[in-house]
Amino acid sequence: MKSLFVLILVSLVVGISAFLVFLLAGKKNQFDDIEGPKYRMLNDDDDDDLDNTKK
Amino acid sequence: MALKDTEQTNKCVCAHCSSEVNPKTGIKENDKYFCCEGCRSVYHLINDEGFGSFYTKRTDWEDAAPVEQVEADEEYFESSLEVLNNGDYSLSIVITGIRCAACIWLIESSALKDERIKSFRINYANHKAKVIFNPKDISVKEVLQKITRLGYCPLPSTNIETIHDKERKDYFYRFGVAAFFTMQVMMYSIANYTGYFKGMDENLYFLFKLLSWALATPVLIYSAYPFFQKSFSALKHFHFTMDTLVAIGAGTSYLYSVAAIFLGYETYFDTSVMIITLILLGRFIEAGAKQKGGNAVAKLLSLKPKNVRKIIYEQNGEKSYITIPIDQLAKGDLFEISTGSNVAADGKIIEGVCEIDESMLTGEPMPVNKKEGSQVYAGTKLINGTCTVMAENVGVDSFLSKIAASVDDAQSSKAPIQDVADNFIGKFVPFVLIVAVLSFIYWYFLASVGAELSIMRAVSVLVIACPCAMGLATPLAVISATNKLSETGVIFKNGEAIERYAYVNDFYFDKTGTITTGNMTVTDYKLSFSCSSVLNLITSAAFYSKHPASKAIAAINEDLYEYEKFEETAGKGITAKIKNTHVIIGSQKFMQENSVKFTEDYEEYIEKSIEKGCTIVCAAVNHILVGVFSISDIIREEAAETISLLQKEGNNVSIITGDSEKAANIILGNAGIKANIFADVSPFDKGNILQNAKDTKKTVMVGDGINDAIALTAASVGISMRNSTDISIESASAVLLRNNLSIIAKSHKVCRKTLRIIKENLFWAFSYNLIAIPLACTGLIHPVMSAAFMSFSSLFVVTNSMRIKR
Repeated sequence: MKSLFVLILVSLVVGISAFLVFLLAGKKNQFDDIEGPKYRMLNDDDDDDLDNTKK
Repeated sequence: MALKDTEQTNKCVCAHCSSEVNPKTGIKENDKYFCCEGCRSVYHLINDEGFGSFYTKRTDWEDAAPVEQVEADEEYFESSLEVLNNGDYSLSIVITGIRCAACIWLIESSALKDERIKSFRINYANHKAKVIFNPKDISVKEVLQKITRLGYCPLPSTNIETIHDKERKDYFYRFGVAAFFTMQVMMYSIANYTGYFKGMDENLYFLFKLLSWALATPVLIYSAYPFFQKSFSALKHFHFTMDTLVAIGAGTSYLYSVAAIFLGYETYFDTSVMIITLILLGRFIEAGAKQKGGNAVAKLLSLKPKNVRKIIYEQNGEKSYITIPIDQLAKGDLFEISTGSNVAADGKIIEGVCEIDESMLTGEPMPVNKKEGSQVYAGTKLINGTCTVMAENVGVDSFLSKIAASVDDAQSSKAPIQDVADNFIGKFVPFVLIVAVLSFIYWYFLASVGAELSIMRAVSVLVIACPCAMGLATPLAVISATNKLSETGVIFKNGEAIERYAYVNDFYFDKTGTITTGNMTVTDYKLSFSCSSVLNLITSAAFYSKHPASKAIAAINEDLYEYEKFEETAGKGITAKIKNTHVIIGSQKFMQENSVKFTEDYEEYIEKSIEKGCTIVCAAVNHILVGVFSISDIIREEAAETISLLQKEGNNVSIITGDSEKAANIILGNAGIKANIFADVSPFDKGNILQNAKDTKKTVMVGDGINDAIALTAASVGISMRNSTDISIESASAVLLRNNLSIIAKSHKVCRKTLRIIKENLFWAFSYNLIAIPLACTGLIHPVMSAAFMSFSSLFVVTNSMRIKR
């Protein structure tokens, strides 16, 4: 029975810390451009190719 | 002689902007062609800096020609500069001319190659950029040049977000908070539900209820705040909206549950937060669709240059030019307009002769001759010649602004249209309230089960009556329809317009630029000689002129000769010397002035052509008439088919034009279009016609010009063409992404389907109520059953909405 109370406490701590991370991300403008990352990810790869072709 | 098909040779395109280039006139370099110097220099710049892969990365290269460059005026950008704590500057700009992800990559990486720029980040969604640099290292001007040299145009921007951005952000946070806490509440609720069947420890059961209470409270206070606020202000006017239903449902189930904790009943905290979360998700999705529409429209608007060449006289009498944004032009300023540019402000010509295309204002497709002292209007386009104009009416006084003011009037007098869901809910809410009261009366007075149980039963009616499915019914259908419609080729600015378009049965089309292409085309010609060399001479001479009639003639032949001498008289014609022969092209009057004689068969041909509504252009070689061209504004291929399709579906189709009735009848008759015609209509009358028609019918106006703007607003739904003037794009509720009229009929079908699906969604959501409410009244329904019902009806709405895409 006791373990149940500990688990409840743990779940609350985990849940609330995830919520705080969400708020922090919002404050740091992480959600301003949700379109961009999928393109940036691909472009970074190509930059290396570019340097190779330059020689 | 009928017009032969121009031979389709291998198309030659510009290496930078991919627009078609005539191999004989384009700039050739190794194996590449360029349409203009601008494209060539940008191409080299991009390759020299090692960004050549831009050309393989890009996915959209329509209109890729460099945007006209502004002199990067530092003062103009002052308002968008922000000084950071460490002395760095942060510059906020909007970059126009961006078409796809490759453009962003190009601008960012080429700017960041310069080590003096600390950060350069462009937002993919709205093309706003933030640049951070130290003013000691690099000037604002240099930063801006980094962008302009690549052919993009930076415009100042403040950090102020648009209403759509703000709305979406607000819903995002409220939804985020609601989703987090709902997940936590659900955990304890499910534990309690299982406990209900299998039995559980009393203390634990009570603790879980308390925890649910604690976790549900922030959702009710923060996330549900807009619902309470909006339903309260609607209630002041005795309106019941979706917000009222959500507020009542979530609010009562919360209060009920708080009471239930202490009275020992089942709690409904999960229902309360679930409703809020799902409805907020719907709102968030809807706000995203609105923002997307807004961005697409802003993008269409930003394609056009908004600069003007202002003339400044120095003290020593010398003339100099500066390029400034249009809104900085003042009354009395002199500015230059040259071939191909738009007139920036209303004014009088003080020097020069020119031809101006006023079709945007009048609907008349042929250009008008203007000379010193003539009035010119903002928004019209100069076809040939160069003029100096003194600005008379700038800003709010211009003719364009007067139209804009009428558009605003029409907009504000527009009755807000309730969408289907709101209309339905307006009747549904009072019904639920009455059922709740009746159920209380029954249990308290007739069944005499006591006040406590009676109130609980009545409240459970309110709780169960609020299905999430109802809140999701419209937004999900709208987002699905928005995607389908943009695939079809049209963007609607909001969901209401999609619903309204489904009801429309009275179509009004503008003629010039909408039913017709707005471009002059040679429909027929007669030559004295059948050999190609004569035709080559004529088309070559015509090629060097920018007049629409000359362009039409040049388009029928691909061979090209260089000219030795070339002269163009605005409003009359051209004379050229090519291969030692003297070529004259122009109006009949111009021929007579050059003492060219007309033979009888040519006169007969000309008479016939004029009857058909064509414009005549004659051509003479060495002062002998050798050919006559019939030119007219041709009807779009798909126009006749679209109109007859709309009529077949039982719609009324009319055509409104500023052109004369005779001209309109001839042109439309030739294409076999049978429709009501309103001719000789002024821009303001166009608005009135639509306003009057709206009393009896649901109308739609399709147009492109400034003269259509008022009508576009006055109609139930206004649709503007892709290459429309800014003001008509702004006043329309939808914009075509391709200039193809068949989209009008196709999207009408999609909108009707959308409306049907919304109605189906509402019907199913209501069916849930039909079963659940009686059960709630009798106190038979189990909370688990009610939750399952609710999820099922929401799931139905989701899958049903996806059907629009098919």
